[in-house]
Parts: sequence; structure tokens; C-alpha cells
Amino acid sequence: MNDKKMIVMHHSYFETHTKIFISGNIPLYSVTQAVILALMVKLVKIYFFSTITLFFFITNVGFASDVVIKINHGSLENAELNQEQLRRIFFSRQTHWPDGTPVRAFVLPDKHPLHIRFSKEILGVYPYQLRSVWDRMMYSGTGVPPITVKNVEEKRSKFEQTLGAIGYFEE
Amino acid sequence: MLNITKPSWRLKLVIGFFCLLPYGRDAFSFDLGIGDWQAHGFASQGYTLTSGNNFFGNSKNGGSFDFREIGVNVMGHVYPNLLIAAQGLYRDAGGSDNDNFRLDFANLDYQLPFNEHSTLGIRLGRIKNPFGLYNDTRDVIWTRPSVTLPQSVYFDALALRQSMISSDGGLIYGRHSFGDHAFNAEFVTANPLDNTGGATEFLTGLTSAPGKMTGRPLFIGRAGYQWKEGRFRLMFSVVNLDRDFKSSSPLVPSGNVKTLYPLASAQLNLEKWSFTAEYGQVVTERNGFLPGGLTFKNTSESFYVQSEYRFAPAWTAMVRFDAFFANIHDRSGKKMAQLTGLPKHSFFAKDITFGLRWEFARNFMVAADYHRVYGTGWLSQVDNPQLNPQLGQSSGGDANWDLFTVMFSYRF
Repeated sequence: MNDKKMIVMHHSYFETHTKIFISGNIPLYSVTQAVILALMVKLVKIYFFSTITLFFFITNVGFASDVVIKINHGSLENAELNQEQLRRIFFSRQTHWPDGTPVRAFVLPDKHPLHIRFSKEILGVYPYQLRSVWDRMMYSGTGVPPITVKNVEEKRSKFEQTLGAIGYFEE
Repeated sequence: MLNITKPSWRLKLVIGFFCLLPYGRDAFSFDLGIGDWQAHGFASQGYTLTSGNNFFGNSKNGGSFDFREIGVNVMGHVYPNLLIAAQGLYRDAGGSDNDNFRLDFANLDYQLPFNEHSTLGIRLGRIKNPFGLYNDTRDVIWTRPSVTLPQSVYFDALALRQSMISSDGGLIYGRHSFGDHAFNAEFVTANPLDNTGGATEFLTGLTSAPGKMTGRPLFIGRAGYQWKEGRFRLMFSVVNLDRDFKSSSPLVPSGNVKTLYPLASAQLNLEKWSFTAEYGQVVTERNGFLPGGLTFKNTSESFYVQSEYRFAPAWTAMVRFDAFFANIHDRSGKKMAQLTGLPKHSFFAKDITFGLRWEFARNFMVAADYHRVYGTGWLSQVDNPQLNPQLGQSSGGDANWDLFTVMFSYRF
């Protein structure tokens, strides 16, 4: 992350402030503080139950990473997406970017840890809420759901190949 | 009419599933590579076993495999706001559905977003009927809480089913949201598919109804509020049907049927738990079918309460109490029994259901329900001729009976 531009936004899910870093033509969305806060709460709870789990969580904190939202579209260099806008995109209500390019959202399988983090921390919903809305639209002909890819590698390659793509990554 | 044992079909399906398996493990939605076009599908095979009465075929004595749902669809945007989608559906559910292949939906959808918060849209073609929480996608087990939906509200065994699913016409919809709050409204005006699936007989109350249903289009409205993308939702739906039956036989009278079906729905979705309830009444008025020009009026009552528990990542347990009363003023069935000579339990059904589902691999699931049912109120008379008073051999069926269903499903 460089220091080109930084936006501080209110993140309602954790009721704390989250920073968005925008570098080059890729907007970055970071929730480091929120994640660390959540893990700390968990840590305190777990401490009273199991020292083995505590150790596990300590190592996790060491590697805790940011969930970053990227858009593969040059003209959206300075896009600032808030939770409401991201919900519109990932619940497939927004079908195209302001210039008419189709929005192509890519997601990981429902049980993937990064997908769970993205759903809960960024969108503020449970993964099954997304799945239920996508299933309803795909089997009733009312919308086009995001593409579910197999893994992070496929996600990265599809993202890079697709103009108008939006996806979340761990950095 | 009822082909109870179809071993060839069973065999074909089992072979089909095994052929799909090697592809299935890694298959996801098919990104067709042109714009955002995608193809999806599902194939589900059920098995039904009852201790008394029949549900979806001859389910007594060894059970029935007459429960299959297979669909394939394609969808994509031709312009940024113009969506085209179509789905073909093959469904077989014993005597209550042997229409086999049908066009489930084929619609154009145009969306007009006003600003960040408000959208209006229109959908034309063969559209899915928006009704209650589950009607829109009720043939896809992936969107149902259990193998069979609560029968009091979503009559699966009755002939009305086919015309409840989709209709030919138009729908306008709107959505307004701010923060975590969203309001939705949909309104349908369409030609109902009430000349299919025995709906004519069901609506007119005639055993045999040679002729056609015509008249005013069907109206459906659904409006609701939802918080945090469905964490909590409250909805109200209503179907209004006013149809004329034009008899083509001098022996059968023509007449008019009016039906109003209001339904209230509420759902709370927590991380591990979901709680759902729906309550509705079907108000029916028939003119011209009874001798002496008498009007037949009736109001029935339907409701259920349901809880789902996602106790492990791939597992969900469900429990539900579901009740149906053919006449709201006679919930015990006593007066109706006196009037018709049928047993009291023909006029209600109370169903306690326990369900379990397991998504054992990505895009594969197996689900099972056990129902303990008191009453025969929503059972199919085609599958249960013993329930039909006009056949003269009506024994009234079994008052207390068990229903066990298992379904295996693959989707992409």
C-alpha cells in the first residue's frame, strides 16, 4: 500500500473506523483494525477455555491479513465503495459500472475462510444470506449471480482476464 | 394414468447421476464466456415412503420413486439493464404432477435505477409467480428448507400447484433502500396457467371439467420490508383469481370461480438459527356449478412455524409444525363431516416435521424429512382414490399416518 490517497470511512458492522487505501488504479479496502479487535475479543474468551486454542489464535494474529477489494477497470481508479455499494454489487442488484461496462463479481466457495470473512466483515451478512439470494435469482430468472470460482488462484486469473471484474483478496 | 413402477426411469436416473459425478465434483456455474451469460441446472431424485395414504405416487408398501425435479436454465444481459432468462423444467410427482417437461420461465427483465436507493423494473414473458417466501423457486430443493414445503401453504399434492408456479404476463417491481433497510414491492398481471395440471377441475370443484378457463387476468401482489439483506424480513402476498369456466359439454354447467389468497410471512435469520412463519387464508366463491344457482363460499386456513439450525458447516436440522383447515369455521371438521358423510379428518391436516440436510460435497446434497401427520386435508385424490367421495368407494383414508421423504440433488 502506498500513500497516494487514504479515505477514512465509517464501518457499521464493527462500529469502528476502517481505512481504505487507494493505490494506482486499484482501490484497496482494509479492515485490519476491525479484524484485530475481533480476534482480541476471541482471544480473551478462549484464554479461559483452552491454552492450545490460545496458541493457535496467537499465531493467527501474527498472520492476520487485510481483505482487499479490487476492481479491474482503469476508469474506476478513484472509486470509493462503501458497504451499501458493495452489497448492491455482490447481491447482484448493480449490473454495470457507471460507464456501462458489466460488473463481473467473482467469489470463492461458501465455506472458504476468505469468503466467510468478506461476507461478515465487509458486507455485514452471513454467507448463507448471499447464497440464498443468488439461488433464488438464478432459479427464477431474475438476476445473474456472481461467478463462484474454485480457489484463490482461479479467482486471481479470472479477475485479471475480465474487464469490469470485482473481487476480494487477502493481502 | 398412474404409472407406479417405472424401473427404466429409475435406472436411467441412477446411471445419469453416476455419469454426472466425475464432472460434478469440480463443476461450478457455467460462465458461458459471452458477457455475463451463465447456465445453471439441478437434478433431484426423491424417494417417498408412507405408513398410510399416498404422497407423490404409490408411496405405501415399499415406497415411491415418483419424485423428480430436473431443470436447466440460461441467463445474461443483452444490454446493461436488460436481462434475458429461461428455464426448462422436468418434474414428476406422482398423480399430482405428470406434466413432465415444461417451460418454467422465459422472461425479459428491464431495470431502471433512479438513484443509489431506488429502482423500478418490469419483467415480461412467462414469469415465476412471486408469492410467499418459497413459491418463486419451489421446485429447487436448494432453496427449500426441507424435501417438501409446508403443505398447508404450498399445496404440492393438489392440482392448483401447476397454476401457482408461473404465468404468462407482466410484473412490475420496485425497491427502495436506505442503509440496512429495504422495501420491496411486486405486482403481477398475467394469464394464469389454469388449463393445465387438472387446475380446471380443482378450481370448479367438478370431477370432470371439459371446457376452458377464461376471463380476467390473474393478479398477484407481494410487498415487504427487509433488514440487513434478509436478516429479518416481513412480507405480505396476495393472489386474486376471477375466472369463468366455459363448459364444452351439455352435461356440465358453466360457471365462475373467484379466489383470494392472502398470505403473511415473517423470517428471522441468525448466524446458526432461522425462524420462519407464514399464515394464509384461501377464500373461494363458486357460482353456477350447484343446482338452483346456489353460491358456494368457503374460507380455508393455513399456517406453519419453522425453525432451522445450522449446527455444522454442511448440516442443517429443521423442525416445523404445519396446519391446514379446509373450513376456518369448522376446524374440527365436524360440520363438514355431517354435511358430506366423509370422516372429520378429511377436512384438516396437522403435520409435525423433522428434517435434516447434508451438503456432502460442493453442489451435492442429500436431505430427509420425517412427517407425523394427522388428517388428509391436503392429499391428492388422484394418488388416493379412497379420499374421493365421488368414486363411491371412499373409505376416507388413514387419519394418522407417517411420511418419510429423502432427496438426493446435484446442481451447477
